Amino acid sequence: MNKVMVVEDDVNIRKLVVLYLQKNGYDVFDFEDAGAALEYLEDEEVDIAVVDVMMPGMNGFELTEVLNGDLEIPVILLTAKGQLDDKEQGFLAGASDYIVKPFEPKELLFRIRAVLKRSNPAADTKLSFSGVTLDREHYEIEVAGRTHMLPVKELEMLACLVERPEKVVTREHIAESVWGDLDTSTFTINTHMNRLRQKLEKYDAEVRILTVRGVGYRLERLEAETDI
Amino acid sequence: MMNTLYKRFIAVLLAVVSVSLVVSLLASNILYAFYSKPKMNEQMLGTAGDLKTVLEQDVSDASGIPAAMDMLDALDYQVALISGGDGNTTGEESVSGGEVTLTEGPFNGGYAAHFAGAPFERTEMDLSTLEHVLSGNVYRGEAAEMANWFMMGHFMNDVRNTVGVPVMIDGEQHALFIKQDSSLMFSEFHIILLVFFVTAVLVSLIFIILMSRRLTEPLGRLRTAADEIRKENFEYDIAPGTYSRDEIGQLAGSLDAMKGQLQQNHSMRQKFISDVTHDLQSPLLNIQGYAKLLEDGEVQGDDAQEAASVVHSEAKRLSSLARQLMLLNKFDHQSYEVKKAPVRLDEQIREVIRVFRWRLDESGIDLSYSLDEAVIESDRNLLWNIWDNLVSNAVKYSSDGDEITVTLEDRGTHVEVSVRDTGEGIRQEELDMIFDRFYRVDAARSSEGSGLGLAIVRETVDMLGGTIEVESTFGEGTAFTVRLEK
Repeated sequence: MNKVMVVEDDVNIRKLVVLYLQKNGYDVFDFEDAGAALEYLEDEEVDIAVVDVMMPGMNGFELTEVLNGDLEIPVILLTAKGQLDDKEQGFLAGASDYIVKPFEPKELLFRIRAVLKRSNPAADTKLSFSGVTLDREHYEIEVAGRTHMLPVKELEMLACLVERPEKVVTREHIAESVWGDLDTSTFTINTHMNRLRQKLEKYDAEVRILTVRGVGYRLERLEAETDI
Repeated sequence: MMNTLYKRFIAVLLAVVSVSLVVSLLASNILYAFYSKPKMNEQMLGTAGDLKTVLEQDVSDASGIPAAMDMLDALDYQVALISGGDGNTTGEESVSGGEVTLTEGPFNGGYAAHFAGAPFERTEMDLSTLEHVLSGNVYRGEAAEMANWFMMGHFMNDVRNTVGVPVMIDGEQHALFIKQDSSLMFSEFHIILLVFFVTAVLVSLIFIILMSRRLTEPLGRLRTAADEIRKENFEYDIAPGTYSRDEIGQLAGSLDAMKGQLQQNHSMRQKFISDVTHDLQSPLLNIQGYAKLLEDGEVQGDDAQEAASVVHSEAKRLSSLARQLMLLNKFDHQSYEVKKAPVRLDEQIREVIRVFRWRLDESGIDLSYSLDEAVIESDRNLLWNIWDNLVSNAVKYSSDGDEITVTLEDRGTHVEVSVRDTGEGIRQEELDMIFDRFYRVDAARSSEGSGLGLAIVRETVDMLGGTIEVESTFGEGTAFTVRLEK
């Protein structure tokens, strides 16, 4: 379970963030100022920090410098102003991402997930097969010079297939790595797979997804028309 | 202010009149001294010559002189006839003796004088002048020359201010000095001159006052107009047509134009405030109402869910409105300084699109983009606003199965960014209004928008000197195209 640190002086926003993150399976530790957060970090470790820019005492930028620079903890900044100045200053301080207040808790979840994935060097963020390039960090695929955004599930599914091109990928493998749940129904997987298939066709990708009955799926290079 | 201007105006004009009077007086005196006076002297010498002839012919000896003088009384001349008792023997030697005073009968030992006409007021004469004429020469009033520099010298009742000719009576040399009797003429002339001066000054004074009135009166009216405008009384009629067609008229015209502009700003502000108030009021009322329902526990299950999501979306609308208002306010006060610097446009647009990533995730909207690498000299923050609003707009009016396409094309001198969607589209008759503040296409259906987004886009594009176009087919989708110079 990922440990998330939340540093925010506004009690209502803090409560809300903590609630959402806990509901979505994160281990959350919240603090109302930079001092308390740093004190906690003397003995403990966290995977990611969500930090408000405007705080009494040490502000978010300064805290980010310490967290990212000295402790190598990725930071997502919460900024109220919604101005690029803030954002640039945040990136200079070493923030991995930023969110403009007011934000939807869902957006925060999405970004935390993305930042954690990015900071995990084990996962290959860029994959490529037969003219189709996947960007797992931004959930995009590039086909013929055009970039398309894909829903998270569809992209992860495609990633499973591209990782083992022209080989059968079992439904169980997909269920586990995409949904994290072996019991995901065949129907759900099929629905998403069909959508992905239609999209690849629409994008003129030179690949196709074959269904291997009872087992799973296989990604194939699309042969030129003349070969058929 | 008007008072002092009025007074100063009169003072200046009075000074001008006085100075011009002095200058013209000087000029006429110079004319008199160099032209009129010599001419008059010649005339008098002519008269003196005539008298000399008459005296020399009609007066046979000295005893006849008084009778002749009595006769001369009738003329308008002042006359002095002097005989030198010693003949001209004293000659030049005694000249240094200075002045003698002419008196009726014998004087200064040997001289004798006879007067005719009005008496001279001053009868001192240089002995040299007297001897000069007695020895047969003509006197042209040189001794009075200095005084003649002034026109009034003409009227100087002085025996020196005469012309003199030698007259031979009974073998004895006499000196005849004559001068026009100006006492009569003097008063007439003087009165005319006085009337001239007084009239000139009075008339110019009247004109000065009238003119000052004429000049300062419209200024007073303009001040009243300015005061009224300050009090935001835009009904006040400045009537620039009633002013003269000069700088003051132009000022009135400018003031009238300014009033128009202020009035427009004023009514725009009023409308803006009432729009904002309305747009703040309705989501607040919804939030209040639904929150109350939830609080009272009057709605349960799915209904409660529904109520909560209404509260949520209305709050979201409020917050987006607040954010947009802040931006608009910045533009309105023109305090926003456009800071131009090279911007990697493709990177920026990609970043903006990725911000919407989470919202697209479960919406079923298919977003794709194709961006040429391009650097333009522009303002990062303003550009961000344009893309942010356009993409957010496309997302707002699209639903499951729709496509959004963002392209950036490098066209050499400029770049073209287009955002197309296959969403709801806009009716032809509404296309013109979508860039207006607070205009929302089908306001009832789209509760999410603030109605300010596209107004901001338009204003931002204008600030950056670009153009924006919109094409739309109702039910098929919309395309916005922004062109910016590199």
